[in-house]
Amino acid sequence: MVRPLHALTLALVGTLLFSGGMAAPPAAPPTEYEVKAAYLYYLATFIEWPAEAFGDDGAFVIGVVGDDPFGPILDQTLRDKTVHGRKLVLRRFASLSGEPGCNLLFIGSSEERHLDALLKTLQGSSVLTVAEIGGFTERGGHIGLRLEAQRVRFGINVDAVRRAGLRTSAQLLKLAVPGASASAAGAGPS
Amino acid sequence: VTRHLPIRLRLVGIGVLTGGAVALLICMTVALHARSVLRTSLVRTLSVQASMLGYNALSSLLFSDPDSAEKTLGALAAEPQVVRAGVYAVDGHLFASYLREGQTATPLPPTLDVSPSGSWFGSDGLTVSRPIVFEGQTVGVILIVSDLKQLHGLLRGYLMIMAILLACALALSFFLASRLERPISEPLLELEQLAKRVSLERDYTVRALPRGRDEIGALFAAFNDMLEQIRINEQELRRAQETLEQRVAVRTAELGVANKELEAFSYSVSHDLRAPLRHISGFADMLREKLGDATPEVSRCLDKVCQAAGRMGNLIDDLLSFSRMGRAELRATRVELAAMVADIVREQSADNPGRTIEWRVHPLPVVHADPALLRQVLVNLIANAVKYTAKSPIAHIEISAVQDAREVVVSVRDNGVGFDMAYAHKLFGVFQRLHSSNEFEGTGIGLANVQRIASRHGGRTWAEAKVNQGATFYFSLPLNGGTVDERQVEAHPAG
Repeated sequence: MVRPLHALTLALVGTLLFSGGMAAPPAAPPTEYEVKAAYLYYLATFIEWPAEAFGDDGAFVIGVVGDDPFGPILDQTLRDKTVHGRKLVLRRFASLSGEPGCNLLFIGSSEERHLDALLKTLQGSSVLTVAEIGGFTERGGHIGLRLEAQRVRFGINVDAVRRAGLRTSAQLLKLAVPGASASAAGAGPS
Repeated sequence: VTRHLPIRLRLVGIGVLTGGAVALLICMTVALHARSVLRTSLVRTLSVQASMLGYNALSSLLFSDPDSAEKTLGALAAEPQVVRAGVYAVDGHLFASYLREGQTATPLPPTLDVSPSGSWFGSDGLTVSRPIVFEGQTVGVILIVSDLKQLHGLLRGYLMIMAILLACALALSFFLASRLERPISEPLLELEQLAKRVSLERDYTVRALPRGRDEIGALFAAFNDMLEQIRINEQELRRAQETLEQRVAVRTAELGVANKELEAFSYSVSHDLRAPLRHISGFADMLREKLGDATPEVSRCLDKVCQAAGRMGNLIDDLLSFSRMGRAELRATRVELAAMVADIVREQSADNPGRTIEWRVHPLPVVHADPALLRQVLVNLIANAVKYTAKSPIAHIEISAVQDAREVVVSVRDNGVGFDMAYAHKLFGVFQRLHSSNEFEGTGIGLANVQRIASRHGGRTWAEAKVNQGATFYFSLPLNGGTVDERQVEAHPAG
């Protein structure tokens, strides 16, 4: 599962996430899921949620449903971080029935089978869905992660995101892999 | 050096220099300020651009997308002064870069020490670096390098304007100074002209036109006062001179008249005295012939009468010759002094057969004088020497002459009775006698004649003596041909 990534990305992500300081050499090259965990965090910072999307505690909740490919990496990545000034909280769900009570939901590849039902459940709620399932955006998902030429890239289903009441930063949009066809390359892990 | 320049030029120079210096100072200050403002403005513009580009490149950096970062930097193409730009990752590696079209030289360094953020002017222009910050942490650095062509172009424009301003300021300074210096230089020049005129023409009636109350006005007033003072002084001096001249003329005329009267008087007296004297002498002779040798007593008395009459005749002759002296014309010619003196010495020796006289005659020069008058002088002096040595057993009489560049001084020295120098000033006066006529006979006119003749020749007379130790008499004759100054003639008015 873990593949060597672009040297620069590794350096950047590694420096930022693990050393937390300037120009310190990384202890080891980051793995694919270390990069993807960082991307989850970055994505959250470039998208705006409506105020009513947050619970009483005001925390920003990242949920993981189905198989969790990150393991402890995600916990380490998000520890002590904030998004839009909100505390980050990580929740894991085995399956979903009804509102998950989170702002960003990573859908594990194990949920591919009942993806349509899952997305339907989330319709009308301000939950950003992220997955590394091939054709995720074409099927109504918001952001699909994939590997391209040793680099983690993503596609955005702009209409679906807008329908969910979320605002995407132009900075994020310019980085998105254009068109739904790109997701057909299906570079995501299976 | 400037002291030799005309005052107008100096005043204009001062004005132009002052104006130019002030204008130059202002221009330099403004130029420096403009340079600083332009630099600050360029730094600010570039910093804003760097901040904006850095913000826009943040996502590219986070999501490791150099292509999109380069696209972002590509927006700099609209800014022609930006030569190159780059985004560096936090570890210092070049993440994305931009080079202006046609820009090949000095590419961006592949790595960068990201810590110094800010702006600095280097050889290749202005470099601005701004950190790229994500959630309070620096995740990269953006670097923009701009050339200074635009800045220098603007500065050149400013400098051009300032050069024009400076030229205008100099021209204006010159114009103003050459107008404004006039109230200062013109009065001074006017005063100079006036002073020159006064000193050249000696016209003390000119006046400077009155001026204002400043120092120049005071100078003019003082100048005028000075002129007035000079004019008054000069007038008084002239008046005094005129009155003096008048007075002198009057006195001279009076003196002339008195002198003439005196001469006429003495001439007529001398002449009229002769007639009765002739009778006395004639009848005394007749009486002696008639009475014959009646009694020795009568004969002795008649001899005395005849002698007295003869002495009086001599006296009258001397007086006549003295009074004629003023009228006689000088007939100067070459006179061999040696021959004349030898002749006189012979005469004197013959006239005094009973005396023992040792003559010492030194070599004597040839002089230019009236021979008859000169002879009279020499006869007088030598006869005097013979006369006053009568009581010496052996008389020593020495005649010598000393010649210098201006005159010949002739001296007659004797070893006679001499005289007291206290009375030397009386020697040459008429009828002035230092010895009684009982002791030495004489009329008292001889030395007066000597002095008169010498002075008519332009010479002088004087004497040195000690009582009983002899006397020396001197007279001088000037060497300029014996011509006599008119004034000296006038001093002895003739008929």
